[in-house]
Amino acid sequence: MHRRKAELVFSTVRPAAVAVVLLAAVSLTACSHDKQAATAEMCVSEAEQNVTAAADNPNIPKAEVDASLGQVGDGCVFRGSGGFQLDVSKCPTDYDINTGITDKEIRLFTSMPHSGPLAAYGYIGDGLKNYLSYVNANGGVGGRTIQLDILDDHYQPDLTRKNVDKAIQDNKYAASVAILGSSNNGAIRDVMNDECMPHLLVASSEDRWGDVENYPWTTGMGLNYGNEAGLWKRWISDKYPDGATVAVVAMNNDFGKAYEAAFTDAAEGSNIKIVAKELIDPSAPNMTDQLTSAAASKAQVAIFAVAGTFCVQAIGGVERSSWDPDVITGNSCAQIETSLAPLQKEGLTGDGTMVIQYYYNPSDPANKAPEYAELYAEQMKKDGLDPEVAQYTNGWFWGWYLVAVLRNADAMQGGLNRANIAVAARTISQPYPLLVEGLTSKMNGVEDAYLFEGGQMFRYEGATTSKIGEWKPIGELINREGSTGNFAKLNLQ
Amino acid sequence: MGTVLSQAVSGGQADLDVVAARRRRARLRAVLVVIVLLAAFSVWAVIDGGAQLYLQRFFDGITNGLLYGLAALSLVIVFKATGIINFAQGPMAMLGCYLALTVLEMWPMPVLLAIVIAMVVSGLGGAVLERVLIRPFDPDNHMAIIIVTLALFLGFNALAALVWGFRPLSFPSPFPQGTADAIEIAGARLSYQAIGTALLVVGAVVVLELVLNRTRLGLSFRCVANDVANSRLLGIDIGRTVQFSWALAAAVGTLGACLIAPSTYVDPGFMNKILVYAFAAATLGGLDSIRGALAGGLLTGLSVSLVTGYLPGVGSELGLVVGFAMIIAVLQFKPAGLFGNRAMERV
Repeated sequence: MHRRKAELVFSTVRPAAVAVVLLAAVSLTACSHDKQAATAEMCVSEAEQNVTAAADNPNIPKAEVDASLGQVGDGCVFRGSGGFQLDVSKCPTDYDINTGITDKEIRLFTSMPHSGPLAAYGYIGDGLKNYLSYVNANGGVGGRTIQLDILDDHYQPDLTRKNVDKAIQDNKYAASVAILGSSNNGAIRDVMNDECMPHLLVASSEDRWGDVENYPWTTGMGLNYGNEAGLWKRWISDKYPDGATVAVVAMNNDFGKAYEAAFTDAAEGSNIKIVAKELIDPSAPNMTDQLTSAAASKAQVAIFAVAGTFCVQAIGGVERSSWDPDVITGNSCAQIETSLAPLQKEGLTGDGTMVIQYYYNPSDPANKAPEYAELYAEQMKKDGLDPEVAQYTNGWFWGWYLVAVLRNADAMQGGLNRANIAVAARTISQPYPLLVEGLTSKMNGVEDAYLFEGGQMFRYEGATTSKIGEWKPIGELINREGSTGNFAKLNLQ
Repeated sequence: MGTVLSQAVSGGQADLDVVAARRRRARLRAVLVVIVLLAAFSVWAVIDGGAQLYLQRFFDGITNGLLYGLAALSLVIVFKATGIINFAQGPMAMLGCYLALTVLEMWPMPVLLAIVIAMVVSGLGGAVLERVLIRPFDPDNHMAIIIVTLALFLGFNALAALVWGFRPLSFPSPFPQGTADAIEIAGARLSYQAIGTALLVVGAVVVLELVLNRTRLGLSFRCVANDVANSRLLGIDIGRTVQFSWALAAAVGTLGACLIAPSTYVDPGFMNKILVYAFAAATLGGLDSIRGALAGGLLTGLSVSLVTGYLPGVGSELGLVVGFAMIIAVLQFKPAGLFGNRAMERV
């Protein structure tokens, strides 16, 4: 610490930083046993702000934040928007807000499956890296490049925990980003918060990632299941004002159960009746038994909160049966080439399947930012990646908001440091270029802990057995930005 | 395994006949008990939920059960010849299925022909695999061979992911599979795909039964599985016999995977999920019985779909648990499985 401080004095000429160091040094010598002094020392930011270096580029989010936010004075309190603040003096005594951040680079890690049966989900990490390499070549974050290490966890929570423990011990990472899976993130959020490691933009959409008070260092990203289920309920109520019967088929894991519980909550007290609830074990080979039971309920609407091959099994199974409900699937089934295209070879189409969408795939011709989509295809080609793979597009989606967070942190008082990064993750306002038209994406501290709070019902149309169809918006865009609050005060009505 | 003999220890032909007759009777009794239990449950189920739903669940159970049985067959073939469980059987079958898919994509041809080509190629592959990776080990050292099959399990999964990626692909059914291609019995749908699969599976079982029970080859299978040293003394080519079992199992596995694939879609892990149920089916039927594998598969499929469908408090997510509860129940009364031969040991 002392050596680094000395380096700072000689290598930088920013008077503020020097003043901070002097102040810390003076207080240290004056009262070396004083805890106050020790905590002040760990809050000394070594960052050099360099906001203006990045050229104006519509494909990379610009900093968009009130510059008065961030470190309060030279203390250990970091203030964000929406009544949010972090007090770093409560962090472990050997904590350093500059770990993983130098003048040249900022080092992050993620943990996701990169081998094993669910490795397909891990492609999101490669997509993320692909976007970051573009950003690094175009200014990075205040001249720093973003380095991302991908750790493999086979989608197993215990391995995620092991990876995180090691990443913390390695003492070279500023933050984590896009760690994948509901149970996986559940297994690590305590240690992340205890260790004050920014747990950024979790790649799972459970409501609990919006628990600002208990887990200030953890932030979610995707449209949370509670909000999505609420949008399903609204659509059903609009179509069936006199009441409807619904069958819910969900995966028997945190992911499926979160959806199922959220929809049950949303439908409670309404004239929507859930007449069948079927769970399917993720290790089951197929879902014929569940589909037969769901069909026996003769429900008017079928909701499938599933992922992976179960998406195509569910959609195809209903189409093949004599049951003819409105089929709504979770956003996890929204990727055409994995969930719908495989149906063609079997003489099926998947037409009529509905899903709540909030952003477009770059390959979707209906997207609102063709230039960004083109850039995506170009960058994919550079790394030899297949632009059609859904998880790569998600990688770009996560990458955009990661860069937004980092650039916002860089523009705050005290510059780019870990506390400001965690604060900035709750101070986002930059919209992704491929958002559904009219939708916004904002995080606002304690008041608004969910980045997305809206979407639009889309229906898959125009598919034949030889041609894939496309998602067509039906119904109105519903944007509840700022109204769902946070996990403790969740307002989904 | 030591000196285990499945034949009677001593005595003449008359003794053998008596033992065989006793076995047949015991087998019949066990199967009858299972059928009676199933029938009783079915009556209650029909009263509880109506005939149409029952029939649909029955068809679901039979259809899935046939697939489990088919996957179990290839486990049984290798077990019969070697006394080991081949953990790589699922991934091997998965590779065979990808192969058929690739053949279909490159040269348009009838699906059945593509399946046959894939069966031949994977049969050859199985033979090579045995020669290169299995034969160097002492055939009596089961643990070493099982570890090798576990390594193959991991290796093949990774290989498939590397070559074909994780995207689920659809496998065209050799039978009509559209929305209208089914017969309706009392309102319950039985698809042509299920009927065709059933016919193929039964055909495969009959052929395998004949080959393994009525030919010299089948005899040498059993002989090698029972006692490697004695088989060698009897002039049986151990290597060839085991190699043939691997080839046959690989071919049958590929057939199974290709028939399973239309209902599950193809991704690198799809046969691993089936394999768990196939273990259940094989154990239930008796690990060394071809028809036992099929019966075990049917029983597993039926009990999963009926028990989870009707028993209150047993949700459909508990399918696997039901399958294993079933095994434990059967093994309490028939430790060698429904059709399995009890091993006898010379003292």
